[in-house]
Amino acid sequence: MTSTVGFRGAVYQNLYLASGAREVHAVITVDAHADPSAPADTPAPGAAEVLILDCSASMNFPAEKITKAKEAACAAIDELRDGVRFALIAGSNGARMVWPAQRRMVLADPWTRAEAKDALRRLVPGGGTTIGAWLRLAGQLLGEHPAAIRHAILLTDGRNEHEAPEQLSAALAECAGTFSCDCRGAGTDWSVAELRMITSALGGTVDMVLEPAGLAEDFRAMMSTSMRKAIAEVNLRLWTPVGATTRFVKQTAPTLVDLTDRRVDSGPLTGDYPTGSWGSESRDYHLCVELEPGDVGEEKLACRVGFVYSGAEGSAQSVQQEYRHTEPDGRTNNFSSARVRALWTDDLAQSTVINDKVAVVTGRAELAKAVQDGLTAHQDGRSELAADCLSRARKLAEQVNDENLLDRLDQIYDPDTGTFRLHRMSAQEEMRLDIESTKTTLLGRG
Amino acid sequence: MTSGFCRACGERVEYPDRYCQKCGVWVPDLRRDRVELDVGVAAGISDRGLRHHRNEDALALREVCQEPADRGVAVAIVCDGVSSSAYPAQASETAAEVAANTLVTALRTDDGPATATREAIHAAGRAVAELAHPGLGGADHTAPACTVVSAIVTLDTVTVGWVGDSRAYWIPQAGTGATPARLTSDDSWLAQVLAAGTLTPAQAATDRRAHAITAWLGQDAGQLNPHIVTIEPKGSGVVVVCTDGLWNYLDSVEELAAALPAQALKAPLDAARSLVEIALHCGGRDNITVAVLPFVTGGPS
Repeated sequence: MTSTVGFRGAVYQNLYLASGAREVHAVITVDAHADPSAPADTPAPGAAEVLILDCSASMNFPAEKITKAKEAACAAIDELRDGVRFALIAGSNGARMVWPAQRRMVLADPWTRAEAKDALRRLVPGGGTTIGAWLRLAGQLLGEHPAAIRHAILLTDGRNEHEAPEQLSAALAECAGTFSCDCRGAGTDWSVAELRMITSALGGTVDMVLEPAGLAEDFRAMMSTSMRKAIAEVNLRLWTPVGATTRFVKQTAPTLVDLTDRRVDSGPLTGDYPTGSWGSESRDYHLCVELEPGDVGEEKLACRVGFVYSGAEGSAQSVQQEYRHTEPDGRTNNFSSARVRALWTDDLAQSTVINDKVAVVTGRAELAKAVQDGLTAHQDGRSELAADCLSRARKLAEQVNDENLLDRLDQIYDPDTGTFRLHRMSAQEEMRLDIESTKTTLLGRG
Repeated sequence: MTSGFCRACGERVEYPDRYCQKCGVWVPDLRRDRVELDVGVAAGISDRGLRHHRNEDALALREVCQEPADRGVAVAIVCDGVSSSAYPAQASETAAEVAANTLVTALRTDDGPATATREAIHAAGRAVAELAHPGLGGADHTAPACTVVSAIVTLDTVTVGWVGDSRAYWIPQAGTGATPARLTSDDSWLAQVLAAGTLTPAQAATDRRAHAITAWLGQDAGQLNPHIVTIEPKGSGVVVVCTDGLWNYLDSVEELAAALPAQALKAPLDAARSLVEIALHCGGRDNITVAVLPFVTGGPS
């Protein structure tokens, strides 16, 4: 497969470090553009899609839940373009094929889409929730098509109660890097943390389905986004010099994803971080590298970032890419990799400046953590700690101008007493706040 | 692509990336970061300065021997790459070399200094224009571009030619009674508005366009109109040719004359070193290039 996607990005940092300082922070923004010369409605080469529907007994309560889930799945199936491989899985105690009956994937065409929808309508819920087993079956099906852009959609309404947590972790380790998975929770009996664990391991989004009526539209949108992916298994490749330590590599938008622990060494000084498949889309990254300090006046390359994808016979190929670098005097230079530099100085006026984009992503990460810590403390019954965390979150939300989270926090905030009405927060509000805490807006590209 | 060795760990480093692939240390460009040239009848220095990552200025010096005179004709070219263009360092280097070589050839075929200067600047302009090709340096950049200023010092004349805001000065030897003079006028937005009298110098200097040049060498330069000036000094002195990396700190001809060492006539390289040192001491915000060409009358012949 040849790349039909080009990346354009920019590097933001304060390149000056105080004498003896080690830590270098940088933000890298990336905008991917699918090749405009490729016909717009051509399906992505070798796309493969698996739909995983929770069919445990709880999906029958209320009965509308399974009906709407089936409708949503039908909408997603209608979105499959001809020639895309697909399969449907029903999950309960273990996973079973809904369509086709055999453990394989089938090419979408008008006939197979109709057959699949028929099979779907005959589904009857019953049994428990074993998400690890469901994902493992999806992984087996998708594993037959290693060259395809592979994606799954998982809908559940409950917690992973009928298998050990280790089984889910093992399934995630097995599936990581082979397909991405968008997860949706119906009702309020599922766990945000659990689905987030899946999407941060596999790549994908988490959201909650409040109105069953909106589910079909959501499924259609997820499938449509997936159909527009043009390049699969893209890795962020990071070079760091001898003696350097990579403190972290995080995606900071459109959602917060810590990629640090997902590094796979790709050379003596390089490591690859999976970023999944890309269409025409934008993402932001925040990197932190610790260096052996240089002398005042000395300059080092702190790290170099580029994106690679699996080319023919699995060899890593460089994505077509270019990054804008802005010098302290405002001049810009473009290079085919993103360069993060360190220049040691004894001028505090230079070294104490925090780049404004680095400040924003740092603030947003702290904000997400403050919200999640607050919710955890609330669940543990530690209301004082919860209030402290959420007050801090509210201040941070103001600082980084996150109107969405500020609005949600204000709904449970009492300005007269300066406290949070935590006890009056519904399960739904709590989960929504948790989900929204990791959703972020892209940085400005200026 | 050229290569060098990392001074920290000895690893081979390829230009233009200039960072050691092993330890990340930045390796200076020994070919461009600091250039000191002395051809006897002229000397000059081109220095990266303290703030910029590379030297986008270029310097070329030549001596053209003319029998029977035992002192040859001195030729200096100074160019400043336009930093918002693609590959400014290549533009300035190309322009300086082509202009210098064209001048030498033209002077040898008995063209007068003014004609030779015109030919040289046009040849340099064509060479820089040829560096442009589609897709070069990305959408943020314009075609490669640079300024040029030339100086030719014969036994009895000084001829300067220029496009852009690099400058040439005539600094007579102290005690001769002659007045120092700037020989060039900048092709710049600032010079234009000052000439038009629409803004006061103070207002204009703070405008962000103050440093924008209105003429340059490059594919998008339009019709080239090199300015050419010839003087016939009555007494000895030196010609100083420089980029804005120097004159940003020594804007008036009086300041420059005061800063120039008294020994400049006999030791032009030392004089160039002193001037570059002043610019570095003042902050070295831009690349600095200075050439010093002695003009000697009634000297030992």
